[in-house]
Amino acid sequence: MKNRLRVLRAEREWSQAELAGRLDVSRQAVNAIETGKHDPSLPLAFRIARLFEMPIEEIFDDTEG
Amino acid sequence: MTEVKTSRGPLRYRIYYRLMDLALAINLLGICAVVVGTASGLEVEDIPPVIYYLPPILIWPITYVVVPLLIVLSSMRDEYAELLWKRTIAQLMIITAVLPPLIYAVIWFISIVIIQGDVANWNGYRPDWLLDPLLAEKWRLGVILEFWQAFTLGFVILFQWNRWRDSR
Repeated sequence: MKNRLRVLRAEREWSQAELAGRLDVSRQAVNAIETGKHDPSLPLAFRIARLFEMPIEEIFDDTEG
Repeated sequence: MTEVKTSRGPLRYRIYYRLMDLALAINLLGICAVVVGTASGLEVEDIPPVIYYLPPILIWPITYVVVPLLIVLSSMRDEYAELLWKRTIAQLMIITAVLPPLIYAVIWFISIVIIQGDVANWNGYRPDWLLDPLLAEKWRLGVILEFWQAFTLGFVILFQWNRWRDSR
């Protein structure tokens, strides 16, 4: 699943480690989500949406192509 | 229990990855020690005790304590580490299913095709002796310990391989 996490993080000038701290996950988890290697669970997706104050569908895109 | 959080994420998650790195490094060091020791042809008596006992002192706590804890303690894994764990366990299961019949096939192939043993005169004797370099004169609990060591090493190598592949 594509996502805008890297862009949103860069806009706030946060490092992956800093974002991991705010989301209560490891830096490796943030990296895996950003590179599309791992789709976050629903609870984590909600935490991400709340942190960036955006709807989930504006961060994650499940459409093909 | 109070969760220790840092600006870089909960400490237990970071410790999990660091311990996994340590386990891989120590185990690779152990493999190198075995290879170098075997290749050098030195007898046990020729090796200073400090050198001889150093690899086991480093490897055993990792193999028999740390890695089993890393396998069991799910509270130390965040959801990505849990994903890697599941992927690793699935791969270990496939290896567990495939490896024994593969070893059987190879041993019988070597025995019948390459060595061309006289099957008719075996009278139930099987080519077990081909495994003597690995298993001969082992005390039975030693075999269990070595199997355990191989399993934990396999877990660490596969986990780190999956992690490395994802990071590319």
